[in-house]
Amino acid sequence: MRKPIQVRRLEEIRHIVHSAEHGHGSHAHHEHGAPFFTHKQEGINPYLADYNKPWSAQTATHIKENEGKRTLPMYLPMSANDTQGDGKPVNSIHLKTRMDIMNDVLDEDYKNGSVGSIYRSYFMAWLSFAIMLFALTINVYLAGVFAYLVGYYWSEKELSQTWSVEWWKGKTLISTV
Amino acid sequence: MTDNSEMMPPVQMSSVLADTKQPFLKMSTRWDYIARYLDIWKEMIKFRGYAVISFIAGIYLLFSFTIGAVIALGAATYFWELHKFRLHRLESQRSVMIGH
Repeated sequence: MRKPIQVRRLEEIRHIVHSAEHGHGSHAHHEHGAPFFTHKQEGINPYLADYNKPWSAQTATHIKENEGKRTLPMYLPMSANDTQGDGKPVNSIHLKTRMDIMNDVLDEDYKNGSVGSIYRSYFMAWLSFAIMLFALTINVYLAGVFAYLVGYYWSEKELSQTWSVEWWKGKTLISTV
Repeated sequence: MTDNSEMMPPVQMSSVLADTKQPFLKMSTRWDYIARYLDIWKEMIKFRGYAVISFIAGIYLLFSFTIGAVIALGAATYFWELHKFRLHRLESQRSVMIGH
């Protein structure tokens, strides 16, 4: 059965259109007029469909001394006359394929701290917790071993989430639409 | 075969950018890109599991309950195809540029 037509107030429609035009930052305006950090940047390349600046690259444009200033989305090494310590070139931008990104991200290795290890650590923590409860009926010291494992896997989950979710929320990526 | 070259307009050299009517690049964060494909990854694993289970069930029922075996093996092929499509999307060679 089709949903009936939703009757919206004019203010809602105006807010939806404004958000669509000006990006996600538009809804975060203060009531007294000073804007939050906005994601949209003026004078942008028209071939870019959507421009979401990472939060770490925001410019506080509501402060007067930052008027007219812009933040670069990429790190541009102006004096890259040398290589890195191990001989690798100093590149500000890397061209990769989706497969490379996904293979790195969906890896289950704890050392990489990737998204796959978040799921694995979460599962192992709860499994250890269940075995700990069962081991309490046998021996309290045996349960202590599994209690240590609960803490270990939970901390692995937290670290993986830090480096593969929160850290990457501040890193730029350009992809095809 | 008839020759329609006189009726067709002549093909001209043009750049990739000149013909695009819409933008073709999107700038976002790494997590935003990963989040777009996370559900596809989960579905890929899910359908791969269903395909393996259906295949094992089909082999098990092959001589005892043949009709069930046929259905199970058909389901295994179906789920494998669903898994393959999602794997193809994740293994795509489409370029992305990552910055610092």
